[in-house]
Amino acid sequence: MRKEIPILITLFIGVFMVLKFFFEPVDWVRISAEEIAKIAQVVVASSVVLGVANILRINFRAIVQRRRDWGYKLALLVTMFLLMGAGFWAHFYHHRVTSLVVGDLLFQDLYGNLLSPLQSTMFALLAFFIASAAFRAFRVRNLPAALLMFAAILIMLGRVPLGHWLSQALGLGALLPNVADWLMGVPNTAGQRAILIGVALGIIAVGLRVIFGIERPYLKGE
Amino acid sequence: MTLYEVFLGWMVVFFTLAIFSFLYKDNPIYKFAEHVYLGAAVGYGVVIVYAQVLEPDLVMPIVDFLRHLWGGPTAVYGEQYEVSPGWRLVALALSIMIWARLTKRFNWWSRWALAMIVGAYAALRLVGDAQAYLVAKINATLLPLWPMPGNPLLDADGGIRWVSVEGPSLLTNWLIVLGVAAVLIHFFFSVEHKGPMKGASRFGIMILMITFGSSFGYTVLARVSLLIGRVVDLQERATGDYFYATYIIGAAMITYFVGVKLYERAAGKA
Amino acid sequence: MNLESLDRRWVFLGVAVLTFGGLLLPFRLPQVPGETSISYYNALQNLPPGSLVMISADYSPSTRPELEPMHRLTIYHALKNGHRVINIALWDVGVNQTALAMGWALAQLASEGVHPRKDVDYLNLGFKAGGEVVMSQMGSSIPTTFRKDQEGRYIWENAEIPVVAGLHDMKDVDLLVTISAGSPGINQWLAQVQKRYNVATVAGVTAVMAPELYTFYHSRQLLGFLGGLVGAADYEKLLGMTERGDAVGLSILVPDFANRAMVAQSLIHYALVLVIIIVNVDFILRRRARGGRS
Repeated sequence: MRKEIPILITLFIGVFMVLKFFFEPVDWVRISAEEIAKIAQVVVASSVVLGVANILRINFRAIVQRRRDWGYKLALLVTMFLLMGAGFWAHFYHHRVTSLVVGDLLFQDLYGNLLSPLQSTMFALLAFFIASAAFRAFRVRNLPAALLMFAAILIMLGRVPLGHWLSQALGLGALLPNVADWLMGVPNTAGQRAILIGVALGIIAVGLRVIFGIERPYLKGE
Repeated sequence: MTLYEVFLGWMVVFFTLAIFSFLYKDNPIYKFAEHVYLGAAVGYGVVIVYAQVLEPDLVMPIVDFLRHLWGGPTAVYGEQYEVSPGWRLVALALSIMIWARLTKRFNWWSRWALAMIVGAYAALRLVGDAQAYLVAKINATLLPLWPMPGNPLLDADGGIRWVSVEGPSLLTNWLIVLGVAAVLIHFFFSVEHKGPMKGASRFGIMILMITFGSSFGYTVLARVSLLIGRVVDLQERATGDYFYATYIIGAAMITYFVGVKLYERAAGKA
Repeated sequence: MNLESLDRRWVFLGVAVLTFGGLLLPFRLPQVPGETSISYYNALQNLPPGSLVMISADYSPSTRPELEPMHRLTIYHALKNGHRVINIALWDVGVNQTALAMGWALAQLASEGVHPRKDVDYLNLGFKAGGEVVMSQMGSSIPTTFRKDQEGRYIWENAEIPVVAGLHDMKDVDLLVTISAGSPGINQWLAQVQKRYNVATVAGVTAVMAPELYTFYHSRQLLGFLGGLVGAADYEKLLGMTERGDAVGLSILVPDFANRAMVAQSLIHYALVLVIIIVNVDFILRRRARGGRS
């Protein structure tokens, strides 16, 4: 029971959603597929509750027991409740969660001045690491390594306005940007296309295996 | 500039510099900012998911339905887009099954809901990828390789287009067709790569290397742009409008790190 | 000195100094828009007035410097040309990011004497969770996907909200724009909606995603795209933004942010290439000195 029913559900939903592709003009097929999609959205959204419950459970316990780094965990929970408070206030009192003006809605201001800079800066750190990686990784050891390096160099030189300016200044017309465009438009297009075809074949194979119950990702941990 | 906006400006600068302090080394200021980030992201997500998905698609339809049972008024607009509340009850049941994951005893309930989602996504991706990736990409690779009247390899005045930066040309078409074929041969492991297969596979590697190199160049472009965004924010808040937030917070953090270093050195000697 | 054993924090410091310094340089570089950017601009520019443009915010603040300029300029461009703009988001943060972009676009338009009206010219439908599932459902019915708008109002068949009149499914969308930083994003839109319902699609994407899109552009599944901050700078140039905003200090909010950032961007690229070449010359000389291959 515990294993068979999920397999049957996946099979039924999977086959139905594939058939929807062919029978979309039929009213009941379309409406049922829409409702299945809606249910899937709601269930995906519901799983957020799981995440919050887990965060609460782990961090709350650490704080109560004064474990190592409990102060940080307190900061985590305080911020979480701050955002939730501001957000639910905005939603239930103002009936909206966005604002076009600074100082109008605390939730929007916290988004723009707390969440946004934190997340942006986290990702901006990567600029330093990729510079350091470029410094260490690129060596002309053999032909493939040289191709990798020269493609990267030509893109870095040709894709920015300084490339245009420099090409013109050296009397080469638009050579650098043209080389970069050609690299992207021809060899890169061929490579990316082959990768996509490979990925699509993989997805189709995995999709069929999942629908027919050969692969059962939802039974993980058995 | 109101005091509130100045405060927001100081907040931006503090958290930006706090995250950047990781570049020096892992430290308490960074850890604090990192945890605040996690808390903010989760808190934000909960609000949006409730306000934009769970309330309109799960809570309200059920509330409306119950209200209707008690003889209350129904929604004014859009009720023709409402389907029977039975579907919503299924959604509710599956949501509860997902939440059952939190319990030890009913843990396995969540598999029914997961099975449904997995089935829906597998089907959508299978069909979508087959149509937009596989078929469309193969279709786009079936390019003319010989200049003939009426095909784009010939100019309006009948001359052969040998090379081009944009658009079709003899060299471009040949490179794309051979390139795609060679990379696919390289991926295709069911046959031993020797003889002509080895040559094709080797050419495939070359194409892939150029592809990855170009991607790396673009990745540098992307990451540096993000850094520029942060630095511009810092510079903007370094002015008198914000009471020199960037300088003051920056100096305070550097003082802190120097102080810790000196303290550690002194403690090490003692 | 051995370059291989250099503390990487010196590299970090170099990058930081170049960025700070590059942004203070008081000149700008001439921007020559690339082909894909021109196609993106034309896709919007050539729509007949009153067309329905759907803009999906599928990114988060993590890529804000690259994507926010494209996002707000697209809204600006569409409203300025008299199109109807429907905003949606498939990333939760996209809801508030849309508000930032919308606020900017409206302020910019107001300074030019254009005053689009909410509910008549534009609307924010908000966020839905589920990615591909949402797209697929929008293909068959948008009203059942977005029952209400972001403010919780019933918008369908509502005489007070004419902007969505005639919008039933994705086939009624004249141009789909996704501002995309990952999944769900442009790849999913192409697979679930573009090919299936034959919807004209353009995308503003991060530079990380751009290389993959050339193949979709080549196969005409994508009418045009903006790739990264360079793409944003191209779009600024095409919209005539680079001739404005000199008076104010550099901020992410100025109309020519991307174009002015290109000085620092170019500097770092060229410095990095220089370092890669130096390191490689050093590598080759060492290999020669050892008298063989590494």
